[in-house]
Amino acid sequence: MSDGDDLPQDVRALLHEHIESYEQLEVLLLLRRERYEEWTVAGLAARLHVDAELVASALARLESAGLAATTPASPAPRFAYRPKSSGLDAAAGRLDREYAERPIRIIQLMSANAIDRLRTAALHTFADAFVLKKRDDHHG
Amino acid sequence: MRTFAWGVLAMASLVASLFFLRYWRATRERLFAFFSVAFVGLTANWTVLAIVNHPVDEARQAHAYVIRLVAFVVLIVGIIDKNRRSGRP
Amino acid sequence: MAEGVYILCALTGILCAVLLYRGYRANRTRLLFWASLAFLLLAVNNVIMYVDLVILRPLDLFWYRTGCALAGMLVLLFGLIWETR
Repeated sequence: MSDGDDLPQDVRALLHEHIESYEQLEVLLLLRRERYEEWTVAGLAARLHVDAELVASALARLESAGLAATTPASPAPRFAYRPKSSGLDAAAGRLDREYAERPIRIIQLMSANAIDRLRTAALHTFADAFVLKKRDDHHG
Repeated sequence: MRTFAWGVLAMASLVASLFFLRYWRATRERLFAFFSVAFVGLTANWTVLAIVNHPVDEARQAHAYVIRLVAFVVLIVGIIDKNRRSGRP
Repeated sequence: MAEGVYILCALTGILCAVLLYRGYRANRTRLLFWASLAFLLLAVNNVIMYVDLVILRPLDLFWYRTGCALAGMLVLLFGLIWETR
């Protein structure tokens, strides 16, 4: 239990629910700062000096979190910052500010969240094991 | 030595019960609450066995199996509960 | 009555062991492996208690069945402590 009381609640919620890796954080903040641009995976990877694969999976997670959106294009799809609610946008903005002012605090919280996620993932797997009928929508 | 063995078992299942209690609080999964209660039941089962310490043929004595039955029934109820809740789309 | 109880407990333990093992195979989450083994040992404990009941000549299976229960609880605690931190 980390005492993130100094960080705003919506920032903590955003980190806990939607930001699982440092790549996601960097990609989100970059997309938001340059929100009128559309980026390709390669472009982001070059700009952030991060592997394209990591960028791609970060973008996928951000998209499912309702923070980014894809526009299909050729030769490669383009991504942009598209928060699905103003609350999310506000939280992302505060996160940007907090990360600029207190990066260590943000990183500490992300590490604590990661440990939390690992621990509860195992427990949810334990509990889900007791469901007798496997849901068919997981199979091809 | 027998009471020592039962004592160890009682303590172990109490600790397990406390872990399940913590898991319930961490995940809100009701199944863990059932597990916690079931293992408290096993703690009681082994404690009673130690206290009564029947010299022979204790497996047939009521005190040896009634509490155990309750504990395992709680487990079964928990599993059924989990399936009923997960069955809903 | 006593026989029925031990059979029921053994079956429940086996059910838990099977479900947890199936979950382990699907996810490779080690906690499930240890918990599965633990429930199997607890089930064996109940099976031996049943055998103890049914065999007319009093064989003292106390340390076999209690040993299984002890092993099962040890394995369970190991799994709970080791695999969830």
